[in-house]
Amino acid sequence: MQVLSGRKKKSNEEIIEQIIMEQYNQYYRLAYSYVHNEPDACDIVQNGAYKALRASHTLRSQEYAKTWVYRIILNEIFNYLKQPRFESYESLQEKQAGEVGDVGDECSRIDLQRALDSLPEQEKVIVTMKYFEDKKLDEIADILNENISTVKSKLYRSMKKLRIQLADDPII
Amino acid sequence: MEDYRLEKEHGKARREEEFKALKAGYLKQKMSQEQLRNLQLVINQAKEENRRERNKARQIKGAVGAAAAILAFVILPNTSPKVAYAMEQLPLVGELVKLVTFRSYEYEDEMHEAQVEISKLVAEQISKDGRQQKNLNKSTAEINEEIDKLTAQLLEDFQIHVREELGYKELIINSEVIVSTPEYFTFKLSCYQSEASGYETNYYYTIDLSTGKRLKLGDLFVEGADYISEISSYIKEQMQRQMAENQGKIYWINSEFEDMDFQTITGDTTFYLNEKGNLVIVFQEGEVAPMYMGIVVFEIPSEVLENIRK
Repeated sequence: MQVLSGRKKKSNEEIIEQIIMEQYNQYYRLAYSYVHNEPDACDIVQNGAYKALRASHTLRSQEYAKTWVYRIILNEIFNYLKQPRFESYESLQEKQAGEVGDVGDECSRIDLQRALDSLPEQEKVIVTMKYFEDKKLDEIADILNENISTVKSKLYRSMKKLRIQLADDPII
Repeated sequence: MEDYRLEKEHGKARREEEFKALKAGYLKQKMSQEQLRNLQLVINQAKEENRRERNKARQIKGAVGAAAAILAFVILPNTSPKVAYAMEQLPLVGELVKLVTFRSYEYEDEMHEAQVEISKLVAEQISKDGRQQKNLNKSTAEINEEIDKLTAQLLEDFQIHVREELGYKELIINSEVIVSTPEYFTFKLSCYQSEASGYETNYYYTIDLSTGKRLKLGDLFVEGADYISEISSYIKEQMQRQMAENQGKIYWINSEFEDMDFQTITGDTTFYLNEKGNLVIVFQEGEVAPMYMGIVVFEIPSEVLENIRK
């Protein structure tokens, strides 16, 4: 048992609220990268935050709180995508391609965006967390409840699919 | 050849640049002030609902506490925290095995509250079958030792919490006989811990009274039957059905995190037999569903297992 002499221990609720208020943009960005629109991304963050707080009494270990909230948000995202009213990637991508003219660099960046979007959900999460959010592999493994080697191999596979080999890549 | 290599190099570099641009685009997404305010509102609402629930729980507990306090007074004339060796026998439960409240421990101050009843199994020495009696004695001793270990640890945590003034903590431990038939005796040890938020763990112990041995899941089925697959697939079906019917229910199944998904029960999965004799599979908090789903149980209808149950 951890001893915090003189300092009152924070309640789960306080800790979870604090984490959400520190990380909400991170959750939002991640949600946005899946749903590609503001209202849905906001809904996801709000629902996730609500569920996390309402369930705060079920958090077993406060050390685990950050990972726990992140998991709830991820679940929220994936459940959102499963809803039938939600548009498929393909239709979204077609729309995007239509909106932006096929002009030079912009065009190939959209290709890359499409390639990223067409990765399996979990692979996309790993790439996003690793390279966009700069999370460490062990943290990603914790969030996904996977072992590090699985995360590593999925990351490797996805980067191959994206045909990217980053110069300063520490894992490959 | 050289041109091809250069072009390939060039393509690679360009793709890296594009990837960086994607990252920049990704990081640009931020919630607006108004969206943030809405989030704050939702957070406040959740906190308010939590507060109301806590108050309600406290009121109910208060009422129960009053009755318990009278009982405690009889057993413990002294209100200071101390362990009472009560040896108070509860009504007879089953002919061969009894659940007896062995010790009770109560503590309450402004920040801490414990209501702990530690029960033990007592095997009556009435069996005419020497082997059955020996098994009964062994099973009860084994279970008692497990309960001792579990509760001692929880009590110690609680006492450290009080001593070190680590803030609000509540501990409730009690046992309950779930089923007592001529065939089986099952009781539940329920451990609830809370530090402004709480979680519960339930343990089930079943003794097969015909042999006197502790009942393992596999013992229920005929030799060689693949009960694990049968039960697992029924549970998966139920999970999916419940999720389809109720948006609020979430189980780890068919999610994107395959490794996290519920795959199968094991021979050591927690279970008990209910009063109908049906098998009930128990999953602790967080085992097959998000923590907020709490402890989840699945009753397996007898039809599902009729071909393989002993």
